[in-house]
Amino acid sequence: MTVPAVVVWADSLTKRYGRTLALDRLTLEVRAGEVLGFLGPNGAGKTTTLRLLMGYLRPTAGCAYVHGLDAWRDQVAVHARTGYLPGDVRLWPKLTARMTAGHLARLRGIDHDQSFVDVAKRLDVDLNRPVRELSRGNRQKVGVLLALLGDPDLLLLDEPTSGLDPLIQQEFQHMLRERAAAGTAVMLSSHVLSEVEHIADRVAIIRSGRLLMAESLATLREKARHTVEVRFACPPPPDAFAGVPGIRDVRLDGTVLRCTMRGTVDPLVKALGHYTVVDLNSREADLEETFLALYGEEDRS
Amino acid sequence: MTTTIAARGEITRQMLRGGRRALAAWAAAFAAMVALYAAIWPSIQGNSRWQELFNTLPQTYRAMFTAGGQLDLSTPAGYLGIELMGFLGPALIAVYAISAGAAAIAGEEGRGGLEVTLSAPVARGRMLTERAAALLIEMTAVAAATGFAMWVFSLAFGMNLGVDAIASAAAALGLFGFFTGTVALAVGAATGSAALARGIAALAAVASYLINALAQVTSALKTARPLSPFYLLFGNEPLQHGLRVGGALAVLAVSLALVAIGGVVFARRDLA
Repeated sequence: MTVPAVVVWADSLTKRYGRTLALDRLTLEVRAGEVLGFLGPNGAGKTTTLRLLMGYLRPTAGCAYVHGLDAWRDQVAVHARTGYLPGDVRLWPKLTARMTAGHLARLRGIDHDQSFVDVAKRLDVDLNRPVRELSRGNRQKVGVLLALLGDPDLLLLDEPTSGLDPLIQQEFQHMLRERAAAGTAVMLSSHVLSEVEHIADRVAIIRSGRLLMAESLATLREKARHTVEVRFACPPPPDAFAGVPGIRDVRLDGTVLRCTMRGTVDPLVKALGHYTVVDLNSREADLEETFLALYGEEDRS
Repeated sequence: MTTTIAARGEITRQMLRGGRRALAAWAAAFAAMVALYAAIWPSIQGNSRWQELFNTLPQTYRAMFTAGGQLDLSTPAGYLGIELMGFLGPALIAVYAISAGAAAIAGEEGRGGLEVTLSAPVARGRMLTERAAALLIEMTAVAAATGFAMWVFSLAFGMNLGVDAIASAAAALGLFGFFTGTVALAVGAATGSAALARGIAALAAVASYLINALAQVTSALKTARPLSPFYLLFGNEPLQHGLRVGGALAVLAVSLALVAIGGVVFARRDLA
């Protein structure tokens, strides 16, 4: 089996604005057929990274290669094989999606592109109304459609699912998986893990311009915490759950137990078997909480 | 490595499609302005009081109103020249050109719209060049509409303007628009700031006008006068004495150089 080609390769990529370090020595790769979820809170450097890869920004230090080409110097050649969705999709208000896609298709040298009609159908994009009459979610769909034009080998998507309703989000994720299966490399940013967990093979987490980790989703999920709330029929004894492996922050108020679990909630569920449980509520920590839990301490220096 | 996939002229066509309503409105406004002044001509004709009044004004004042310092209201060319080419026409076309030039790169960039177009395999320099071409076409169209209106209303009101005189005046107007527009386009492309682009371009337009006007009264500015595009285009009173080709070509060359410099800086800077 051959190893898929490296499509995106960032090496100590750094971007500084005056005294602000927007991106600090990011090293990252994305291979053909891989979906990388690029996660981090707002202002972490996700957009900066994607714009560096598009050659919109010039690196202060380090370098970025896309399809083996220098992202800054060879941006035109990179763009020929890359689809990009900006974090804030701004289009020409008076043009319809069809006119906009037609223009972009001609700029890409695609004369008769029917693929965008198929994509429009799947995403339920209204091709014939001026963009200014579309809701934010519908404009976002037009942006996605434009990024997919011409079936590029790489998709750089900045918060692609923001504003999309759940059904469309699902359809969009199917489409990304199909493209990835056909060899397209995908890098999509998000600030919530739940948006990428179903499609990403790997996630990279960035905060304050620094890459905290790049790992497979399975590894990350093992480290994620769950906030669990259990309501019992009768109050359990005070130390009933002290011995449960991975349990933290236990608070028992009468019939209600609140705690956090590191990794899976399985040990707790097993321990609950001795009691009558009225209600059980488990919420996976959102990404920010996971960061803080995993990396907060070492980063506080 | 260069990749030229995109259809040539696609960005220019797109720009023109987007700006066609503004273009139609401006062309109509210029034609209406010509019609208005031409319609007044019969009442000005043969009335020497304006001329006498003008001659009593201080020279500084006269210089502000005329591109070449001379007022000749006795002929249609002199009259229309002063009314259309002395201040109002250049000022209006500068307003149009500057707003279009500043919007073309910096305005769209400020809105965030440039990221989508530039995600296509189009070099930034080419995007600027194609948008400058759109600006040139728009200015040519407004100049042509103005010239056509002059020809029509000259016939209608018996002004007997020569076709070459009309062409000279229209060309001067269009070139002044293109110059001010390319200042805005180039500054906008170089800096990404539409406000700065409009400000600097307006400053260039006003300065070129004032240098020409004040050079007629202060010897200190005499040497600077040939640097003024306003002087190079309108100083010869194109409707009466034709366009100075050398001056016109110099203005065109400066405009194209501005586009080239703007393109180089645009290609080297970060997008906002």
